[in-house]
Amino acid sequence: MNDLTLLRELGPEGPPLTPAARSTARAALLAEIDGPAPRRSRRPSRTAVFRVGVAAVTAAAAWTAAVVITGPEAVDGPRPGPGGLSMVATEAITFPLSPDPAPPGMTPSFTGSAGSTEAIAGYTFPDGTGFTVYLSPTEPVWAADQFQPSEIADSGTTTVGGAEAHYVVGSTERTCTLANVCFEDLAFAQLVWERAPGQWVNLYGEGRHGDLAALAAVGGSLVDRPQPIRLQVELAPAGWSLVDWHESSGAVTFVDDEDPARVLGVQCLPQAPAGVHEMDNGSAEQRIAAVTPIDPVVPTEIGGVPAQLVRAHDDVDPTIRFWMAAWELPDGTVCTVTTPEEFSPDDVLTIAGGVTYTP
Amino acid sequence: MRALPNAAPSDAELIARSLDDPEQFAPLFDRHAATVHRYLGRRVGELADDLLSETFLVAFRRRAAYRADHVEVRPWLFGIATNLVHGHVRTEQRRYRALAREAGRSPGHAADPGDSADRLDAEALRGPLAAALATLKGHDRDALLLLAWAQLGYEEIAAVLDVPIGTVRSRLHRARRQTRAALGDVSPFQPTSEEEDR
Repeated sequence: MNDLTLLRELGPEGPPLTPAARSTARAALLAEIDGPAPRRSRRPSRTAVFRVGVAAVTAAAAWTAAVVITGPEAVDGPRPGPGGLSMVATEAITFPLSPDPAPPGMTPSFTGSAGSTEAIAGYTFPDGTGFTVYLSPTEPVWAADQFQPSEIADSGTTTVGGAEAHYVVGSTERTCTLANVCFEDLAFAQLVWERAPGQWVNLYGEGRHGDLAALAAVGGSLVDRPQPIRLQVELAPAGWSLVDWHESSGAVTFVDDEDPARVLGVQCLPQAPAGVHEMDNGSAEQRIAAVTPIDPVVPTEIGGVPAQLVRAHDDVDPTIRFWMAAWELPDGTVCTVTTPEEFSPDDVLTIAGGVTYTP
Repeated sequence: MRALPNAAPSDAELIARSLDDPEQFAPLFDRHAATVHRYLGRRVGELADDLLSETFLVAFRRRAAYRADHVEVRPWLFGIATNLVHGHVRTEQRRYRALAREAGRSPGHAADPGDSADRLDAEALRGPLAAALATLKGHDRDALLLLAWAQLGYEEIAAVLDVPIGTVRSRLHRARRQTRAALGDVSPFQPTSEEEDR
């Protein structure tokens, strides 16, 4: 046996590609192919971040999420930025519902895309369990088929907020969450109901929310109160539109209305929970060091904290050139702004200065 | 799901056609998603689901820049996937370390009398192997895993990493030497030439 054989046979294995994850990725690609309107959903949920479980992953396959749009019809008129591009103030990105009261001890995470009424909100405990709210304008008929028959303990109908809801309860063996907490037998529950005309909810919970009564209580607590997502980009170039947001991967994406291939990406990834090394996102310096620089890295400031700015090119295709700014918030969150090369350094820093992240 | 064309054009032909008819790109996903996902999964675990999606989105957006004379589509996709892994390099390293720790804690298969001695020896290598991967430099690890897991040739690795083939050789030499050294006395390696592994 040589080292390559050893790596192939005994090296780390990854999780299998589930039909759900495959469908999710394929749907995302087809959505991209169906472009070019920038206000389309481009890819579905960041499945892994919401839940580790068949149901959540599968659910995401059909949910190219979305919420309220923002973009060129900004709340303020265009104003020239110091670098030449006209910057406009954007509207806050929101999720249309809120649980009332807010679930204590849980961190929300939102996914959506501009111009769609589909949306996803995930609420996660530090151990990685929690619940996920999927919204869609039509009945998610696929939802009932997302579980292995051997996992289902019961199914039927119940009432949520006065509406009849279909439920499934069961448990999953040997499940590990993204927080690296493993369960031999993790309870899950799912509720699907039409909360309002044209607004279907698929609510999926695990752990303590894998209890039907607990999950139904969450469903009944949902109110029509838009809540801003944690990552906001307050300034964007005029003529650019928000495309989508994936807080699980900390990303908000804008594209040029005239050339959707030109992408402005903003990403803020929080510091990993103590001991959860797999979620360590590194430092601002490491993010900069991970790209291939064209010019020397420039030290600067963003929001009063030290930052770095670099002009770089893509590793695979050197003709793709871009700017990247990276900085670290006081709580350890690492943020980056990536723009096409045609932006000026001042443009990049102006956009970065408008990035806010609420832990 | 959208129906796929009945014909079976080559990957490169699909990309060429997709420039005018974007839907022609979809069969590439069906052909390569599982392979790319497995590679990603071995590197970044659960994040593979996300990065698989990203890989094909990036590939679709960059399809106009694809050069059939430079590299075939499958290696090209592995190159994109590898580039995406760079954004999660710490996750990858931590994962290997966690797997190494887990293997160290595991009682293994020693209690199973049906296991052969060879299998027991092999199982004992999982932890040190994962630990070794965590210690490699990023570029060296890319080259090694593109060779071992993506099963690309030297020329393909050079193409997708956009480095001279000599650089690939030096990276692989360094990575393999360090991997062997990290495994130390438990190494079952038999000397092989690089050419044999291509």
